[in-house]
Amino acid sequence: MGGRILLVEDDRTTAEFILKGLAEHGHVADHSDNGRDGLFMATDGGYDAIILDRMLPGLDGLGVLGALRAAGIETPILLLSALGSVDDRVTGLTAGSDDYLVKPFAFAELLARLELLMRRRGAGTAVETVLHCGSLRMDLLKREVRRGDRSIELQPREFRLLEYLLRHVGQVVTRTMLLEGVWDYHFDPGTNVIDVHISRLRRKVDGESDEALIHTVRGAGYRLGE
Amino acid sequence: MRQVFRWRWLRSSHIRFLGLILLLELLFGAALLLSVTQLVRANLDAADAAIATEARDTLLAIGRDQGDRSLISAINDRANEEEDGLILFVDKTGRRIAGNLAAWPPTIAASTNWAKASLYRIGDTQPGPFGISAAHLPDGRRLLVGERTDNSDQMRRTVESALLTGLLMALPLAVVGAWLVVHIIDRRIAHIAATAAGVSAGDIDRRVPLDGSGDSFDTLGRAINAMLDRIGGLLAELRVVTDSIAHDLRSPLTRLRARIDRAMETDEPMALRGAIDGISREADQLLAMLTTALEISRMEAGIGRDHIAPTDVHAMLVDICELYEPLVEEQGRMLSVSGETAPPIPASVPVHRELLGQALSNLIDNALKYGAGAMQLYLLEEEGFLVIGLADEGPGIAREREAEALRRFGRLDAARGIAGAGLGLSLVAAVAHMHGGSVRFSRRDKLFAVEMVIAQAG
Repeated sequence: MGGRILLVEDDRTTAEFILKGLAEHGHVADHSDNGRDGLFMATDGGYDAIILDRMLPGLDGLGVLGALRAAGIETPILLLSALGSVDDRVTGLTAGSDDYLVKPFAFAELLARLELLMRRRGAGTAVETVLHCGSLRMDLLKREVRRGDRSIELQPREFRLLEYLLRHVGQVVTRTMLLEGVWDYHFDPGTNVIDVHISRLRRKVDGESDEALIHTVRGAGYRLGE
Repeated sequence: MRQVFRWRWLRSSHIRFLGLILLLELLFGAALLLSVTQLVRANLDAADAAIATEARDTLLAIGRDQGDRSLISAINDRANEEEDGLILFVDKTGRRIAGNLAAWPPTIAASTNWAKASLYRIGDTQPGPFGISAAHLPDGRRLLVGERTDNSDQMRRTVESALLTGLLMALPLAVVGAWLVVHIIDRRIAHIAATAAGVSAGDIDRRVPLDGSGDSFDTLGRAINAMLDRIGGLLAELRVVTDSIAHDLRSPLTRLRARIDRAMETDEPMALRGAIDGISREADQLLAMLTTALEISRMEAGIGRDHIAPTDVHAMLVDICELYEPLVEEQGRMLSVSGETAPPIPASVPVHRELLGQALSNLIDNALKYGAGAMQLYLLEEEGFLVIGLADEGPGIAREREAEALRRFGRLDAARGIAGAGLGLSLVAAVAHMHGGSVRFSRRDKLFAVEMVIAQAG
């Protein structure tokens, strides 16, 4: 399920790196190397998502973002920026972008976040009360988790962590995405705090004998799926 | 170009200042001259009028009390004896009965309290200035009494010329005065300009000389000196940072370089894979270091204050504790949050949630690396300040090395054996500083704690 993606990025090397990666993963991407053209293309292009560099010639990323949102265009936008401080991220997110990624970045992280944005858009507004993955089943109303016949006792935070993974079944979820999505923090913890939470969850969900559902994706993060 | 140069001096504030003072002086002088002249004239006229009116009324009284004969005799006396007197008595047809004036002057009404006219008396060869009072008697006869006003005219002229002379003499004084004022201002400003020029030229230790008077020049000088002190401090710090970067960035970069060299020599896929992993880790560490260093600089420059918002700090400690608990337990240690939010501790305090979270995370990382035993996060209220601390049972930091520990890139193991960039605590200090507080170390009952003391008002 490839999507139509617009990349607005003035650095040629970065643009080629991203375009190549997107094509390899089955997405169709257009490219603009400045803010004005990017805004023009985004306005009538009908894209599934937009990757927007923050510092652009002509019109900067926040300007493009503001113009698009003012025009009522709600295409998911992922801001890409070398401005990596905590404040820059908060400013970028509050300006109306859907996600914020700091350069330099791993392509896996970009892809994971991008596919998440497109998936979230497609999901619509249907309220789900039960989440599934293989034999794993989470009832959000009863706050109950079962793997086949086995009931799994989870701490509240473990529950939210698993819920996050279940809402993104089959997708790569990075450590920073988990920190943001589950704990709502945007700082860099430095140590492998998230890994420890995942390994605890994995022990409870996958156990000894079951087929593994929580997979580690090398160099990127985790994926829940069969 | 020459034209421009020729007229440019006109725009100088000195010339304008001088011009302004001269203009004000002239206006003031003119106003003074005008009002004094008016006043003097009115006073002298009133005095003259009083004399003439009194003389007229005296004569009228003589006529009324002693009859016409006495009146005419008194008129004749006045006409003959008083050198400055003017007098005329006419019947109702206007014919002269007595007096030293040939005929009733047409400009003077029959009944006048005060008028001025230039008239010829009988026998005079030239006209004289007279102040006149006249009266209309009930039987139709008319009496006119006058007094020469030469003296008062003379006095008025004297006053006017004295004032004009004074004004003309004041003008050069005003110029000199204005020049002096301009010169004094100029000299004070020249000190400041010279200091600024000196600092621009590289003499960063130069300061504006102060006279301690507390006037506006002194205040300006003080403000400029404070600014220069701050710039000097920042420069000194920058020097420390660049020196540290030279050392602390070079070592990981050199390691990176060595790993790349080794990777290029190997043909074995597994070894290559391992080498690339190592390179990637090294690069990540460099990036993290750079990000933190930049973050600290931004905080010290005061960027990000606009993201400070009321936050439940106690709930945040619980959050962070929950985030780190599994990691801490895995290392056989314990992490907990002590106490509840007691009344003196406000439910929400304005803080930068992300940066405070980062600081707490750094404190826990440090305690994991260098500390020992159970760790405890706590919150205290202390004289309007909020104390956020992390205590552990480890040896802590030696008192004499506290300052060093807070310094950017400051690391306490000289050999730098344990991984880290020496930025953790200086970030904590920068966060505390941003919140109007500081970092301190405390030791109680074998516990060592790092505490952020922040202002509750944000």
